[in-house]
Amino acid sequence: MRISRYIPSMFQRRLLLLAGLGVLCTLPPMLQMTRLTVAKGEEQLAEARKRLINEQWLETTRGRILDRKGRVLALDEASSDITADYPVITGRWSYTQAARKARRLPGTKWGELSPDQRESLIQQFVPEFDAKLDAMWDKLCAIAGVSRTELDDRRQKVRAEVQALAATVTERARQKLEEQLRRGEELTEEVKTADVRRQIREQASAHVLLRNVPESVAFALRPLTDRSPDVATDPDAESAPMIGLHVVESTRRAYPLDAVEIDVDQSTFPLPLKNPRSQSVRVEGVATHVVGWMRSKLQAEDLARRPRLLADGSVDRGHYRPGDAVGLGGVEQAAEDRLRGLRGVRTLHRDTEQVERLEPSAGSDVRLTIDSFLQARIQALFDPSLGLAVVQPWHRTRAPDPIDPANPRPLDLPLATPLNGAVVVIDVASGDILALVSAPSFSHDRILADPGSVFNDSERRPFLNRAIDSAYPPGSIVKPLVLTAAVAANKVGIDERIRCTGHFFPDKPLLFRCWIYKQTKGAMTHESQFEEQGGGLDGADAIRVSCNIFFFELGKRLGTRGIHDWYSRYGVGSDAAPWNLYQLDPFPPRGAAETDEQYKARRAVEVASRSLIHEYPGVLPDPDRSNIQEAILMGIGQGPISWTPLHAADAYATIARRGVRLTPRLIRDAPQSRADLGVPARAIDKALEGLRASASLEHGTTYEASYDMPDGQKKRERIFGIQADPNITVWAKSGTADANPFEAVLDEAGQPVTYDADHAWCVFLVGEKHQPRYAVAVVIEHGGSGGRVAGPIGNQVVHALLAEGYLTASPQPPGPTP
Amino acid sequence: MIPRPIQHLIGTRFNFANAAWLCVLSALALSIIGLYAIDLGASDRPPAPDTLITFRGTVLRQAVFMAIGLLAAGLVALPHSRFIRLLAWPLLAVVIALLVFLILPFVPASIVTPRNGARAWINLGPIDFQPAELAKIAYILCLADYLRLRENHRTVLGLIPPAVISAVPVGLIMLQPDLGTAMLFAPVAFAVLVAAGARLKHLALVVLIAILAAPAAFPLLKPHQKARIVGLVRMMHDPRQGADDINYQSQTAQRLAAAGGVSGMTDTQSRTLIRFNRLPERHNDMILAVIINRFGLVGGLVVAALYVVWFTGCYLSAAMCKDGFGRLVIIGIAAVTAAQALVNAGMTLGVLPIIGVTLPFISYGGSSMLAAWIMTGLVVGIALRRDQRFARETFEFDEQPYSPGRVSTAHRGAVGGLKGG
Repeated sequence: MRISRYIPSMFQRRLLLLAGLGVLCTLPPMLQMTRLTVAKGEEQLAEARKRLINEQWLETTRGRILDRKGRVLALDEASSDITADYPVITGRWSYTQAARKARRLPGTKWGELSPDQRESLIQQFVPEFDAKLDAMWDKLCAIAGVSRTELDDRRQKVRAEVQALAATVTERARQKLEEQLRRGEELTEEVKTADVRRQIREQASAHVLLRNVPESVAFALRPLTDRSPDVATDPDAESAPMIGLHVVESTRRAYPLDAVEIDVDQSTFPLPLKNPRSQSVRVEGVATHVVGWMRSKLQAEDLARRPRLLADGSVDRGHYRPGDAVGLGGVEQAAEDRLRGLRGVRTLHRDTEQVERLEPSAGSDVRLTIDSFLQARIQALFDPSLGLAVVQPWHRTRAPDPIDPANPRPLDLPLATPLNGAVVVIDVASGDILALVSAPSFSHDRILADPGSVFNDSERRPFLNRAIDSAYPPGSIVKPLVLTAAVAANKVGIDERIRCTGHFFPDKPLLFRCWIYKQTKGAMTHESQFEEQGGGLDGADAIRVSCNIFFFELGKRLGTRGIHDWYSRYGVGSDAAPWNLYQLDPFPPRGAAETDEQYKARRAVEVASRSLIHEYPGVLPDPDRSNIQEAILMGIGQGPISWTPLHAADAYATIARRGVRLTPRLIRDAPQSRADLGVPARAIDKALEGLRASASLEHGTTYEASYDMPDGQKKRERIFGIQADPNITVWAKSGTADANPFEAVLDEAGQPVTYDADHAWCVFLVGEKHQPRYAVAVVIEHGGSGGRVAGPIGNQVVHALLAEGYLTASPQPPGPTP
Repeated sequence: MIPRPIQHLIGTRFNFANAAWLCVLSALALSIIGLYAIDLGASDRPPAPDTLITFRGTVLRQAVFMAIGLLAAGLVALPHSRFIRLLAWPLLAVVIALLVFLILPFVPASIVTPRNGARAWINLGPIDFQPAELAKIAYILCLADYLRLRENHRTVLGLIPPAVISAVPVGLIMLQPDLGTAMLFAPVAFAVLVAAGARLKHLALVVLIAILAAPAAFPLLKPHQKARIVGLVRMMHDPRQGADDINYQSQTAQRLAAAGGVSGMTDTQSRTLIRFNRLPERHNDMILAVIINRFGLVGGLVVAALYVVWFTGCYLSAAMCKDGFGRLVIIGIAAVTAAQALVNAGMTLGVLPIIGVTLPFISYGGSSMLAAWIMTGLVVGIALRRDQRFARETFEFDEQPYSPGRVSTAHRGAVGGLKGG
């Protein structure tokens, strides 16, 4: 069929062809128009309407952290910062002002001047404005009381930061454009930096020059500064006395008890340290580990943990925005969601100019069970100037071995080395943690001023909360627990006597020895101390003198399963609720589709993210893979077992509650679980009898210590001298736990040396008359003898409890120690 | 009685009942819609409740341009097309001189002020004049005059002179650089050559070569032009790509257009949305988005229909006209206007990269408005004149020439034995 038959004119046919092509070309825009309006209309209308609304966040206040008596440990405090516009900081302001003045100069026709002429005219006026700026900086220094060098350094720093940022932004934009152009086609020309350079926001905005200035300074500056943020471009800027300077109100996390002075009474100190005068000690960072601190840098995890949008698509008013501070470590991190408030929203409807306000809701306060003053008193005991927590001559458990140059044996720590340690005080009745001390501690100021000394000191590791997150072998302090376990499991009669043979296996005199046998090189066993009782030791005797043979025997009788069962009842190795302390959610259980590896990996990530608020669950071997030798060793708290000072105090509190375990708590309203371990009352009585005797009878391991006096003599003294007060009773147990040798640089030589020293434990109950009221665990890392190193510190903890009113002394003053 | 010289100038045989009036009617309607749309986008706050349009600022200026445009249309419609034809080549010479003037580096910025990097405007005090708009008209007239009696453009070599006539203004405009306007010359040349009877296979070959050569021309583009093309490609992959930088304008235009939905929204709603969505060039290149936002899909279709009416007027006028010059001028004018409207709609709606091309009659701008109305006037002027008696049909290159006189008898009889092309 020929179209020419119907349209004979060629021109008309061509016309029709053109019209047809035209119609064809209208199709894409037509279809797109229909698609947009019909299919996307509503969605895009909503999107377009969003532009009518301007929302501004209203900042909220973070909740406070209070101690058990309502003392404020952390709060948001109003603070004033001095900021300055970037052009003023750099001095560029002078040039722009000079240029403006030059342009307005009467008698010159600016339009007719060449660029060079203009420039020279501008340069004439620059010094004038420079001088103005200079005068302003001097004035600021005078008012704020900072030196000009300090201020200029700060200005230089701001400038360097902004320039670096601008360079990064420009380079990224350049690469992005280049990337875009390169895609698909060979790029013929390189994109030049000048093509993409733009002013970044920081180059126009104000920057902080002086942070948190005193209120008097802010008050003096406020009337002199212009509040308008774009003052540098304001034509009347010259009239403002302080050019481009602003006083900005903000909030700052403050820690009022960050540093306190404590008067330490040295009259009750061990003999060589005794001093009738009291000494003032400055405690830096009271309970910093517990309270935690803030970091100002947001991390991807924060945004993931609390995303901007909730599941239902609404915006979470507590989401993280740049510039937000996040709690790090301790309660600040653990109770982040509770402390962090919800922002308010100021909504401006731009079309109607109506303003709606949703007021911010402040974060909740968190009340701790800690008594900050008791905590401070105990922290003060670790001050090296007092001598309690530094290596002393009488600390050593054995004479130093001669060093064989070919095969040097590990050394004792050098004298006067400061010792690390931890103290936990638990209120028996409530399970409240009254003090959770980890030494060394650090102040919040130090985190800001010198974070390296906190987080990069791998020798002393100040950031580590040793009270809850450091593993120590328990040593002899578990002996009362093992006794109650063996009695409850019917493995030992309540009055059964077991002979101290010096070494546990008759045919192996070098293995599984009693400590006294080992120290006296086989000359003595505990039998000699109990000859009048007709041979052998009962449970109380064994605790009093800390007989290893007795508890080896109990470990053997309990067997791998029995000892595992009882240790876990006392909480060792338990991760049933490891976060309970901080009221954290437990780990979400393993998903049905999750493999072992995936679950472990997820858990590892979670643990890492909680590292600074981590509570160490302790180690307990799997009974199916354990052998009887390990069970025997675990009878005296050695072998493959470790726990934390919190575990120790908790276990002793359980004994004091006569076998009832109450989960310890750090936050006042934390839920607790109560469990009766099913320990027979007579076993508890026997254990308490042994603990009482240990602290108050001859041969008790926490009864007396012998000290090297400065005059070279050795003198003996009661460890718990406080018991001279008839009202105060102490049930104590020392422990000298074998620790692995470790390398450290402790002297000036700078060479790492291998040291070997035991961990010193002293765990005790203290109360009035016959009622134990507080469980206290003291551990001194690599301190040596439990009785001689940790014991005196324990004694001072009791004094601190007295001083803070937790115990009442008898009316008549305690007499001199016998 | 009309004096002889004037009679000579305007001709004596008129055809008042012609289709070109359709063009005038639709152009008037489009111009008025344009005035309202400019007002929609220009107002900083909603007008008094009972006023539809406020004549101030850009709206007032556009209304004045429209009046001038109408006047100019009348003026160009007055003389017979043979006088217009005489003016074609001198006009092109003037236009080329102006285009050269624009790109002379030493011309002070007070006379030629670069806008968006292009030296396209001459500052004439109260208004700016864009010679490229005039160049389109001059070019169409010259091309039509060149081809009106010729036959050699049916050979490959014969296509070279029209190509040369095209290349001069296109090249000069590309140097400004104003790629959008320069590209509009291609459809004009194509349409005029098709109408003038050039062989379709030659033209198809040229189009094919152009399509194949286009990617090779990509590296020659300026970075911002490349970025726009890349931006469009990225947007097609993911509509949210580049919403804050390169595609901001396009995204905003599409958002506003889509927000209009099927039936649009009230005057106040539309003003508010447009104001706070900050659509760039909303009175100018992006005005279609404003119209669709206000009147929805229906509004868009009405505008399209008005353009269809305009083209129908052109189509019928061209079909009725026998004079070669008249035919080609109308085709050229229709082609350039169609191309401009389609490219503008395409870039506003996000199917073409953004190149500064205005929407005829609607977009704000004196030169654009004036040019559109002058072209309408030319169409009217040509349609107004009756052909000379016994005028020969032009551009009939069929092997058996078509003659209206033979349709009824001879043609019917000859069909059997002939294989007409």
